[in-house]
Amino acid sequence: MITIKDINHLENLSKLEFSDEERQKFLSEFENIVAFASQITGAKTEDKSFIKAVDMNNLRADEPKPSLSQDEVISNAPVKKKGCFSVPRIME
Amino acid sequence: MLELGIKEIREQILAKKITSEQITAAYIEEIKKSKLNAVIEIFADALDRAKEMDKKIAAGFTGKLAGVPIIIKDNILVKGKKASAGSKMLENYVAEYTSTVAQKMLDAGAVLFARANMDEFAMGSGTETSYYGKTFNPFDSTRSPGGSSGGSASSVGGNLCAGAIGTDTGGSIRQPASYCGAVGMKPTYGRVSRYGVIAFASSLDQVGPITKTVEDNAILLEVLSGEDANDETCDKVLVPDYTEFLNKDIRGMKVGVVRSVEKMLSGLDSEPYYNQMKEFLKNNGAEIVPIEIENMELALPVYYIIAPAEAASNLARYDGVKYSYRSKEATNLEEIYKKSRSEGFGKEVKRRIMLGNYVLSSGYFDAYYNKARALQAKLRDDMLAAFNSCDVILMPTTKGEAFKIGEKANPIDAYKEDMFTVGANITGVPAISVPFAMGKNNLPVGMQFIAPHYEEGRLYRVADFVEKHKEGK
Repeated sequence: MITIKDINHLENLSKLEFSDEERQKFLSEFENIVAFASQITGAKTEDKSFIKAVDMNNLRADEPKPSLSQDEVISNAPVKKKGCFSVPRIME
Repeated sequence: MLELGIKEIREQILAKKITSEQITAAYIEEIKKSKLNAVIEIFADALDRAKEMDKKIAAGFTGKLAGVPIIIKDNILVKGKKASAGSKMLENYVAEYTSTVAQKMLDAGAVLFARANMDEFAMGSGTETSYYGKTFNPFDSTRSPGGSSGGSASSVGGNLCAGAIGTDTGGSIRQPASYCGAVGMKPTYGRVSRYGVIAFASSLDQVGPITKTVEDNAILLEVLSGEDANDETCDKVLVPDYTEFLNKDIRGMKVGVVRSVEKMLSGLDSEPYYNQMKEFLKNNGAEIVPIEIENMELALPVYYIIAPAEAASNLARYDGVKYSYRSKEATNLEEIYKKSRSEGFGKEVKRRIMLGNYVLSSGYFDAYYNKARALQAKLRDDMLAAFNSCDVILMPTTKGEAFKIGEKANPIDAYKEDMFTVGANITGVPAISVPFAMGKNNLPVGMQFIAPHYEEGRLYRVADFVEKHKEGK
C-alpha cells in the first residue's frame, strides 16, 4: 500500500514537487504501475549478489587532450556570472 | 522524387540528375506543407550545407551518404544546433559538440537538415508526450506514429526525408517504424556510439536507422557503426559491409518462434500476420524451430524497473544550474532544483523519475531493482542459449496497427505497447522491424526479427528477402 507520505518522500528524492491535486492523481496511477512492476517478485532467479550492467569496458588510453573551454561549458547555463554558473547564496 | 530513399538519391546526385540542394529544398517545402508535426526545426543552414555538398561532389566526393538529406531525432547533438529531447527542460539548449553518430554521417556526406519530434526524453510509445505537440501517422492522421522516435518514423513514412535516425531503449525505433511502414533497426548494444546522444537508460539506449528500404538501412547502419574512444560501451567488433547480406535467399535458415511469445500474441490483431510470416518463411525454404525463452513475459516489467531506475539517475543532471531550464519562481538552491524540474519536465518523465527512485530506494532495492537485474541476466543467458538452435528469432513488432491518438492515456496501456520489443533491449541483441502487411484498417504492420549480438547481417538478409518477396511484391 503506497501512501501520500511515500509519495512525498519520493518527491523529495526526485527533487520534484506536486500540487495536492497532482499528488492525489499520481498516487492512484502509481499504485497500478508498482503492481505492474511487482509481477517479477515471484519469479525464480539465481542469487547473484552483483550483476554488471554492461559486459564491456572498452577504455581509451588515459592521455590528456583539449576539452571544451570554460565559455563553452557554461554557454547553456540559465544564469552565469564572471565565467561561472550562478546560484543564489547558499550560506547566510 | 520525394519518395526516393538514401541509395537512390545518392545515385541520382552522383549521376548529376539532381543536386543535393534541389532534393533538400524539396523536402523542406514538403515539411512546411506537412500537417504531421513530425519535425521540430528545419536547420537554418540546411541549404548551405547541401550546396557545400554539391561542390564537394562536383570535386569528386562520393561518400556513402553524399548529399543525402537525413533527419535526426531531437536527442542527437550537432554542434551549434538545438537539441531538446522533446522537452521544455532543454528548449533553449544549443549543443557545444557533435555526437559521434552525427559526425560519422556528416563525414559520409549527409545533409542533416532537420530535427524530428519525439516523446519527451524518449519516454513514450506514441510521440504524445512531446513538449512540441503530438506527431501524426502519415497513413492516418487520427492515429499515432508510435514512439518515441515517432517524428523520425513519420518523416520517413510521410516522405519528408530520405531516411532518419532514431533511438531505441525499449522499442522506440522498431514500434514507430512498424506503424509508419518503415524499416527500423535497433543494433546490438555496443554497435553504435551514444556519445552526444541525450541519455535515457544508458544500459539499454541504442541509436539506429529508420529507412524506406532494408538496403538503405544497411547502408546507414554501416556509417553509424564502429568503436568510439568517447563511448567505452562501444565495442571494437569489425563493421561488415551490411549490403553483402542482401539479395540472398533464406533457404535453410532456422527461424526460432518462441512459445511464450505466441501465447502473449494470442487474440491480438497482429497474430494473423505473424502466422502468415511463418508460412511465408516456410514456403521459401526456412525452417521454423519452436523454442522457449523462460520468463519472456516478464521482460516488460523488468524493463519498466531498470529503465526508470537509470532514467532517474540520468535525469538528475537537469538541476536548473548547468544547462537546463531554470524556474523564475525559485529563490534558493533547493527551490531551483525542485521548481525547475517540476516546471521543466512533463508528466510521463516525472512518473518515470518517481518510479525509478521508488525501485532504487531503501527497502525496495532488492525486491525490485536487484530482482530485475537478476532476471535480466537470466533472460540474456536464455536468449543466447536459444540461438544454439536457430539463426534468428521471429516476433511481431507491435500488437497490431497504429493506435488512435489519445487511446493510450492510461500509462500501463502505453507501456504494453513495448511488450514484443523490450526483450532485445534487455538482452542487448539486435532486432529489426520490416514492413510485412497492411492490416484491417489498411495501415502497415511490421514484423520483427532478432539475432545474436553483432549479427545484424542476418537480420538484413531475412528482412531484405521479406521486403522483396512478400505478398503483393
